[in-house]
Amino acid sequence: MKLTKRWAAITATAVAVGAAATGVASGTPGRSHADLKPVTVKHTAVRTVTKDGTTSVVDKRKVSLHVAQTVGLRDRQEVDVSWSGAHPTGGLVGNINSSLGLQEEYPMVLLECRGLDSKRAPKADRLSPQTCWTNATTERFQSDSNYASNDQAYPPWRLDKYASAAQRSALYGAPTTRPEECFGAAPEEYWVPFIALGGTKYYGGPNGCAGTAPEATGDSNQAMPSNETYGITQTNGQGSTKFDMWTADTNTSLGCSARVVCSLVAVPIMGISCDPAAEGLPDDDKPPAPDIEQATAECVKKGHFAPGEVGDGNGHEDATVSGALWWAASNWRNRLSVPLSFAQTPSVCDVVGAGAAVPVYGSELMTQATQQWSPKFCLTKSLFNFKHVQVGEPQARTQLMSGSIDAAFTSQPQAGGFPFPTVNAPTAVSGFAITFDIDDAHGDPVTKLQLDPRLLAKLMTESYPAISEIQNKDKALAKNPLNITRDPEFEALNPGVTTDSQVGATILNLSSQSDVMYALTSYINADPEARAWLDGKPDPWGMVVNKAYKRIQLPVNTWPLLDTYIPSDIYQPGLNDCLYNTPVPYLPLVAAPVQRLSQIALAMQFAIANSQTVCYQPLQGQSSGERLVAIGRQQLGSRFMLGVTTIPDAERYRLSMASLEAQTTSAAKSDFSSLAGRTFVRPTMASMRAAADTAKPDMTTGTWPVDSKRLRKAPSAKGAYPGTMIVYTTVATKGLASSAATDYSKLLDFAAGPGQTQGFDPGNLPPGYLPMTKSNGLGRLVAYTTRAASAVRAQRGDVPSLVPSKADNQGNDGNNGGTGPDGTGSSSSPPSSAAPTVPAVDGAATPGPSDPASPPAVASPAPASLGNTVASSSKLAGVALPILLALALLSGLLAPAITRYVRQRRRT
Amino acid sequence: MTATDLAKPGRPAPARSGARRAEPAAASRLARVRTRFAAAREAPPLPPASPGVSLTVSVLFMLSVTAVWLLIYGVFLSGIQERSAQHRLYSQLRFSLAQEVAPLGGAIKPGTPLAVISMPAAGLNRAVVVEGTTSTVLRDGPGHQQNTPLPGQLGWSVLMGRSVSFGAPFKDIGSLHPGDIITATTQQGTFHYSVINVRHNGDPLPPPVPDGGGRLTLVSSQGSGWRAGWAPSHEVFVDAALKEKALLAPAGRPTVIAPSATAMHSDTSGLESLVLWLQALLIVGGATVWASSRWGLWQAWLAGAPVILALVWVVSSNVFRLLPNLM
Repeated sequence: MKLTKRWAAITATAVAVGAAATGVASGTPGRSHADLKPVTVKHTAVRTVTKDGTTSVVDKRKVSLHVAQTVGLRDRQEVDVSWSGAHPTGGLVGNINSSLGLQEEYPMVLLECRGLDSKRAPKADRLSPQTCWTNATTERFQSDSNYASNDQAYPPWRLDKYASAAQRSALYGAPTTRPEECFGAAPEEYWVPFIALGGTKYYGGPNGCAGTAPEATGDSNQAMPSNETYGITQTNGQGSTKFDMWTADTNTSLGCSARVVCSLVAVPIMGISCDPAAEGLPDDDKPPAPDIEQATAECVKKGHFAPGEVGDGNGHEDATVSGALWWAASNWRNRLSVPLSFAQTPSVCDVVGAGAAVPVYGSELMTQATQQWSPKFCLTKSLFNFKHVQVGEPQARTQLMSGSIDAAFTSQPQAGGFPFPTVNAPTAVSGFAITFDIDDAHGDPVTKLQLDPRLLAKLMTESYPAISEIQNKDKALAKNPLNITRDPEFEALNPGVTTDSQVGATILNLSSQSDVMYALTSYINADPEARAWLDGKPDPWGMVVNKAYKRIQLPVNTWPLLDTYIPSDIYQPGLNDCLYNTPVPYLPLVAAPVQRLSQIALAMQFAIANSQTVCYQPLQGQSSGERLVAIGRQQLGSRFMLGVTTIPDAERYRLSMASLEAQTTSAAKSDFSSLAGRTFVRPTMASMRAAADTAKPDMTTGTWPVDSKRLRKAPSAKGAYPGTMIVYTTVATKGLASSAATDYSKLLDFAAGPGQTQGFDPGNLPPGYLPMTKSNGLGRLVAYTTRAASAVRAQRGDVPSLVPSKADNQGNDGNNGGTGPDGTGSSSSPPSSAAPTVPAVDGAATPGPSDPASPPAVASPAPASLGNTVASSSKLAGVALPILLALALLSGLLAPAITRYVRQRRRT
Repeated sequence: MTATDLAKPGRPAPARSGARRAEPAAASRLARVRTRFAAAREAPPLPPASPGVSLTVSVLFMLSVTAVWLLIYGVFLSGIQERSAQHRLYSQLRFSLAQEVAPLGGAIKPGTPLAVISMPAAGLNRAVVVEGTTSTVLRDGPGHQQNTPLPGQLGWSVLMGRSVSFGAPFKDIGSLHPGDIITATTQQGTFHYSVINVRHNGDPLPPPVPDGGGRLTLVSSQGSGWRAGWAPSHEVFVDAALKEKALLAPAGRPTVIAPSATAMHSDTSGLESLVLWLQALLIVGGATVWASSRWGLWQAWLAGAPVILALVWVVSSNVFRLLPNLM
């Protein structure tokens, strides 16, 4: 054991050193080429034709497939796949991940299939067309109604030389009892059912009438695209694409994971090898003489479109060489397959039976790290089953305050502190990034983007009108450019980028409470130009802030949507029936923020614009059931999308990150006529390190705040990335059960040591985090976390000082400078600043109306009783109705009495 | 005797004959009463009473009518208003629960329905609880104290309700016994609370909430002795413990509430609207009176009476905002 541990340590150090070196140089930690196990496979693909008993080769190609990474694959990872030697593709379509690909001639079909392609593997583990994933039902079902124009009885697959007799019959693969929804059978049908993990067989059928897997939602531009790819081979026989690897997290029916073997299968479509004579088949399946000629002619066709020609979508492609017949035996036998191996995910902990999970709630910044740490924790006997529950950090702090959780990942201290001693132990250094999917005028992706805080403020404050109707009619925004690309400030920083889309007026943001929003708004607030603009001062080109956001107080935890303008011109039944029926302000629909940062990462990976401005009517022309839906996936070549994501998410899904303005000197021109005096910094290891270096300990809060104002001013922070954030594990040092305390201290020890090793294996730190190590200048954070770990294990109420005093080795000096939020280190009495105690507040004595539980029982056994009720009383309530009654009686009797008295007086 | 004889005080007319004096006494008395009335009818009208007196009388009369109306409104008619509000809130809450947008916590707008409670032992079935505990909000039904968690969540949840007016949903909570069940349904599910105790001023507080548990306190008012049932002068509290596992609440709950939301306080913000509605009442009343002379008595009052009644209703509702919220 010791030997392997040492070797593991050496390898890890070597990898870390190598990674750090490349990281400092290139900005992203690289993974050595060999680690990824790229694979190249070769196969000779053949198409034949059988005439008069002799088989001759029509086409023969040596196809070679190269997959850039085949081990340690993670969910939704995009892997580069390239091939050469294939038949060039004709009839090109726009979306090669959809069923449109069926119309391509000679595509290279890439599929993720469950199983191994090996005769030595047990039958249950072998792949087949039935375990390969496709999304639309037309990719797994053919019937002769497709040949309506010819109305011929022998579609090409029935003349397939390499198909079995059963496969060449009129009806193949259909369920034994045909469901009612499938109506009657067409004369020719070929079904390719899908077998999900666990054995459920989904037959599919025409329009999916016999059932489809739940993930088979069909071609929808609202969701992420499916991963089967009808790759386009260029005229030189080469092609490449990015293939999206899925695990069971994204597609449970396919079910690939670290425990379920899957393969990438590439089927180079060569066309059906025709055998019209059909020797050896029963007579029923032999084409009768009058049909043979026509069927043969159809079968041996070589393609309607020229290689490289764009398809017309009208069904002119030759079926025999189209992508629709990837499952046919002629094509299937030409396949190349590459086994895939997936990385361990936290789900292994459920299987291993590692015991009850010990949760830490909080920060989405930690998601990628905990995904890799979790498997290591539950598979290591000396550690524990650790689970990271992602919630917004303010919510996690509230739950910690109320005692419902024991530990939280946060980046900000709790305002007012906690009523029990807590320690904020630095766990990881990361941050937020502004990611973008932008294509330039030629349709090529833009790789560099520069943004300053004022531009971010403009995007977030709904100050761009987005559509011309708002620009024309809303007086407040009349002088503002339509979207960010028309803004001279943006053009000065990023020339040559234009868009007409409404999405150019907004940035995909969070709607929930998060410390990421706090950090982002601190960054905006620290810039004098942005702050002045938010307070109402127009920018040098006359753009003003949206009135609803004028003078907004920053920083905030959650960004409000305040615009109220309704452009009634476009709220017409013909234009947008949903908004006509329920008019709501338009710009908040364009902004459409989401709850989780991971949702933003998914939207940015596939450029799925979230602006909810499209009216979807299930019944065309009718209002019933209509609703607003997102604009959906943007067309490759004309994308424009911006989003707020975490740096680790951006690294994992290979999202482009923008450079943010770090500092301006006096040389900076306010009208951006030149960029002199302004520095823009991209998130890299070096820039995050420069920012982390400026973090100074704050004794009152017990954290090292990365102060945005200091980043703008300090000369040492010139190259510092302003979006850097430090994530702490906040945990109590008194009152925890001893097993929980030990577990959390193990987590802190891990975070201070082995957890900061970069890599892709369980227990490593994935890209996007600055390793918290001495070599990165973060030794003080590491030392503090180690001290915090001992304090948490001891559970004596000690809160180590941020700055170790000379005589302090153990860090058990809780009274030094009141480090923890609670000044008294070890207290045995309920702190007085706790939840309001019994004495009446405003006369109402319902005990502690704010956060609950007893005066937190962490410090001492809770008192048996909280005292006596002090109820309030109200004299008014006690006399109101009686007075009314008395008044009624009194005046009711008095009035007639007076009348009578007066009358009598007058008579006498 | 003739009328003219009456006018002249003095000697009675001599009897015409002795026989007449022997008429039966009743008949003569009847005749006397009859003639006295006839005399009164024919008597010249009295000079009008002094303006001071008539004003006083009218004022007293109006005062009496107002007091009677407020009494009737407070005890009976406000219940109609509350029942109508409860219907509206119930359908609103049903809709939000089905859409899963009913509030879960955080800062909720006062007046939003967020739960349905039932306590058959106290005669309350399916009352919709709204957010807020000011006198204004409690006109619609029981209210939830804003700085406490919702029923079913971790911690100590407080609900307040009226005991005399506006349907008096909480009038019988003082008669709950330990062990009685209170059911609350929120967006997070249905929760059952078991009553621990009923307390008044000076009674010991119940033990603190255990870890992971929830508690509910119902607050209302009670009167003792001759005041019972209509003049509640002091508070009554009922504590109940959650039987199921308590759930987490979202962050963002307010930590302080306005004084008008605390128990037995009135909502002085109702004063402005009261003044405005009184003005409206005066205007409409004046218009009706003016119209009755120009247009016609019956016509003017036919048109004006419903409007006046509606305004009087609203004015009374606003008057009750100025009374303590638990009344």
